[in-house]
Amino acid sequence: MSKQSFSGEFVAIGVTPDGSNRHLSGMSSGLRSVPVEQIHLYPFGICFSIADAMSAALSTGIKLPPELIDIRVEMSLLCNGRITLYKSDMHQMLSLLNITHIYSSKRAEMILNDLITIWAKIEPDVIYADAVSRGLFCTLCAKINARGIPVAIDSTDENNMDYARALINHRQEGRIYSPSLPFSTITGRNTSSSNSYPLSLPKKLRHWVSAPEESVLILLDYKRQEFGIAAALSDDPKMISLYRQADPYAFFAEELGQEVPAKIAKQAMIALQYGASIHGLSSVHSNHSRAMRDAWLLHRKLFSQYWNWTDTVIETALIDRVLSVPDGWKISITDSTSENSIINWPTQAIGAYLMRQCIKRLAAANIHCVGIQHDAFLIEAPTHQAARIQGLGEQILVGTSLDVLDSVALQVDSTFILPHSNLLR
Amino acid sequence: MTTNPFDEVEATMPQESFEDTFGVQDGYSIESLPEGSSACEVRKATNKEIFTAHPEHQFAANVAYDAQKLVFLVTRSIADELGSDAKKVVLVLCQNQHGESFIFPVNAITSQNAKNGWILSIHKAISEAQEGSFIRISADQSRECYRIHKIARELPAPHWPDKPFPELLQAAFGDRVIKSIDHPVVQEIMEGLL
Repeated sequence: MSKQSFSGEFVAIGVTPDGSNRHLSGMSSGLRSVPVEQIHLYPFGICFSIADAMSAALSTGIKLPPELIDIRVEMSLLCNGRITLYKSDMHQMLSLLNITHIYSSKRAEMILNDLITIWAKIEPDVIYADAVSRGLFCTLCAKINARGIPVAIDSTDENNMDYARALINHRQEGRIYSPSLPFSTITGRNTSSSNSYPLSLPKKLRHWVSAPEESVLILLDYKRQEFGIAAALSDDPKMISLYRQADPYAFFAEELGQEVPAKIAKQAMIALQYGASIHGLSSVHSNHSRAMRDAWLLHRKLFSQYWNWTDTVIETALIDRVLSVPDGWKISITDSTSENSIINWPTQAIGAYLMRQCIKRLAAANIHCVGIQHDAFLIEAPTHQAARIQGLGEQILVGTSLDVLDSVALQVDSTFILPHSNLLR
Repeated sequence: MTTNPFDEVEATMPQESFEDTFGVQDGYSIESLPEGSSACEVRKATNKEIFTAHPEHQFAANVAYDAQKLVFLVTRSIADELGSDAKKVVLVLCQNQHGESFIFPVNAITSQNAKNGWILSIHKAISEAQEGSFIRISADQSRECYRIHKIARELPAPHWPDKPFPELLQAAFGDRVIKSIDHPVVQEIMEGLL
């Protein structure tokens, strides 16, 4: 693969705390100090964390360069997750790269020097266009996080006080500012707090997500995304037909027979797709161990093309020692990578890639996401534009899935939340 | 494949040559092989290996396993003493997708296991690999046998070690050769039996 690199001067952007404020600072690749109001004049900038830089920039009104690269994300990718993305610091990165710490009496100057040194070391291994594309996604996630998710928390509900408290800790003026963290898993999926991110709450508490005055919320989510992606990637005719025309889980339960409750059949089918063994399934559903053996055999019989495809994925992983998606997110295969991780990775990584593409297209269409979760997008729209934005959002999600998956357009569920209403009403 | 290995073991691996070449003695270890020697591991292929097998380099023998599942080569007389604790195997030279050679101890087909799906399928797999295919094996628990995945992609031809197979075996087993009833592994097994 020919590597696109960046030639020319760039700016390293640092963020230093000062009480409750955060200060931006800049240093050119030629190691000259850059006044903050001139940072945006550089075509490209590197940050330790784009989220932090965006946060400081938004609060101070300072503009950032059009193209940004997040050093933590690139390091995490290059070292195959050996650096825990959101728990690593500059010292760990320098140490991993065998770089002697550069001394400076000024903290901001030291950070900027270190950033430039790290970039110089990793730049030969980074595909510039892919890194900028990841940087754009980090920027858009920072903007989504900065918008916050509107909520109306029922703090009198004694049964759910822990969730209420966790949310309230992140609440400002009726909105929850709890981040969705990009690229924080090995598959490239975002993660968020299961206690303080409103879209991660248990279903029974989703009604706390509530549309504010003069706005509507639109929740768009892909239906059975992982089954649809696996069907498309493997080109399994039975899976594709089931995805398009029926409820695959109900079909599987029916094929399996009356003795197995539909809920268990569904759980088994999901587990089987990711390589669960007969023993594994039987130990989880010990009351149905014979049926689990039947389920294992049935899955392989019904979806034989899917299983042939998983063989190809395993072969590719074992021979090339790497799996990747079109925007360069990848996993290096080591001796400790399990077979099930290999089988699972393409479906999850394509799901993550699909989300990145959707977020970019929604932003380009001036559609404001306020929250994202796995395969769901929460959009806030002015009431008078709600119908148009809902239609356009659906169109973007369906169209993007078709572009990514080629043969299968994923189906999209759409929920409309009117002002003063919520996800259950 | 030969199922009566001992004449061959002793004929192909004369003790004099073995000791002369590598100075096998108590306390000898793989690490003390002469400089430049690279010993193949003696082990089964994992389900994460794509491998092929040398068309000719195979060798029937008896082996025993210690508590850590390390493989020891066993002489015929000791194998007789150990009975079913000594396993008849065929040692097959294999090479994986990363060019690593290893010696795969494949349980030999005997009258006791002639209908065992695991044994029969692994022999089929080895046979395909010896014909030049790159394969991967995985356990098919429902059918109680190995599934054989023939690799569709064309892989570079293997670079086999240029040493004679007996030398590779000698290097691979090093001091893990049981010639006496006093060997600690034999004692371990016997104590286990008692």
